[in-house]
Amino acid sequence: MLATDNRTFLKASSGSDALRKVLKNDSIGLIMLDVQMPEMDGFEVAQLLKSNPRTQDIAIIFVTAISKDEQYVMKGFSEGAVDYLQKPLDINVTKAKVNVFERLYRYQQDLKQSMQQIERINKQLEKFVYVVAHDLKSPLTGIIGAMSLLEMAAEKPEGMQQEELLEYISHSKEASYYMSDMINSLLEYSRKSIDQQTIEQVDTQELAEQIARLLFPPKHIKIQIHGPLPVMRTRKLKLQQVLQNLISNAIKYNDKPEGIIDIGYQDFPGHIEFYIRDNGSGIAIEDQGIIFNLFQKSAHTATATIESSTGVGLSILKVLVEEQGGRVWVTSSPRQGSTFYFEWTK
Amino acid sequence: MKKLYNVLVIEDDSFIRKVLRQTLKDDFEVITKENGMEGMSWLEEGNPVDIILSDIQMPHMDGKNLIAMLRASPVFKKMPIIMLSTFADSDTRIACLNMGADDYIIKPFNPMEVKMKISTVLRRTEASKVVQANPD
Repeated sequence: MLATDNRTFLKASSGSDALRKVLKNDSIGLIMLDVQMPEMDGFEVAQLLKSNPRTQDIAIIFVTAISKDEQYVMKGFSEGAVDYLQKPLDINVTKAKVNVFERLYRYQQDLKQSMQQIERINKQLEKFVYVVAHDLKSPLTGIIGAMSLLEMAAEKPEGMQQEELLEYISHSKEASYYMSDMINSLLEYSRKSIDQQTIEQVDTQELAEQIARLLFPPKHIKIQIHGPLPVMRTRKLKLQQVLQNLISNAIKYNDKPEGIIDIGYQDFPGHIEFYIRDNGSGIAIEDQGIIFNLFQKSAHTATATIESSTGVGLSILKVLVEEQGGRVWVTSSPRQGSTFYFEWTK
Repeated sequence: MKKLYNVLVIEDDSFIRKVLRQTLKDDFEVITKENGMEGMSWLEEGNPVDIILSDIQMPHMDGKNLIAMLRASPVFKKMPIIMLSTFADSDTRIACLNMGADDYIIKPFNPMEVKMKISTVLRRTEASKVVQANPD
């Protein structure tokens, strides 16, 4: 009489059988418990359920034929019951009560899920801040070093070459610009995370074509979209930022006379897996795991001097992909090219 | 004039290498290498090194791996080593000291501090050599 599509019923023939089943199944929302049973009565079962942290939050409705004596009703509530039903059961009352508890259970589940998600994002942000702070310090090491050398030169000017002084100054300047770039990327990211909250219908084929056009790839680069890419309901600007970043990297780091960039996707039940493949310089195996770290440039391609590109792009991209539940990864053979994959929740 | 002590500086950033060389060159013989692997080869070739100043984050063998290799080697297990890193948290600092680093300098650093810490560790090493040579 209680059956609906989204309910599953488990039957237990005794108190101990019930406890076993409850412990084996962690998605039980409501227990309807008879009070009078051989071996272990309903009150005892309730007591045991309430004493275990794993089962203490499950709602229990006592079902009993014992007279409605107040003492039994009160005993039931004191053992942790949330409601009481009298045998013989009134169908409508029973249905209504179960409906109420089902709704409560679903709200509780939603709350739990939101909490977990918030915790996950919080952890990610904590890590993000830690890494940002660390990486903003790196260029400062060079700047302070250069300043100290200039100071030493000022104290002992003899034997100091002018070229050397200029080098210290230009290094400080470059490092300062680099820091300023990092700060700009961060500001852009924080602004975008606040602004980009609207969900809309996005034709990803159109989006990819538009990005490919607006990035003005040089003549030797050919971008092939293996579409039509799907239409999905999502936060357009975030998806755009991710695609744009990967496509622009594929263009920027292509070192072949004829650069080919392939964009495509694979449809999965809960998400779309997009890929961006290039035939560029590739990424050394030891760098493949770390390129998504904040401000991390590939050690393989990094010239020891400061590069104009910051590693902010890929790490923010990772945050963008992960905060909506997906993953991003790369496969690459050095010198032959790389394929970046990311999952976008439907 | 040849200086008394040889300092092996291992650091992947060429400008920081230069800053360290300029800072230390008046007081020490300075050899610079780009990563732990190169530093290790320099040691294994038998070149004289009295103390190592090494960055932690580097490609091709980072500072932590370098310490682990040194401390496991019968020849270099007592080689004094000072770590340099932008990681300022106490966990990383303690982990490095635990692995056998003699000291830890946080980047950005004051060049004078680097110079002083090298001198201090060298003085301590010399003192322990004297104690070992004359146990009484």
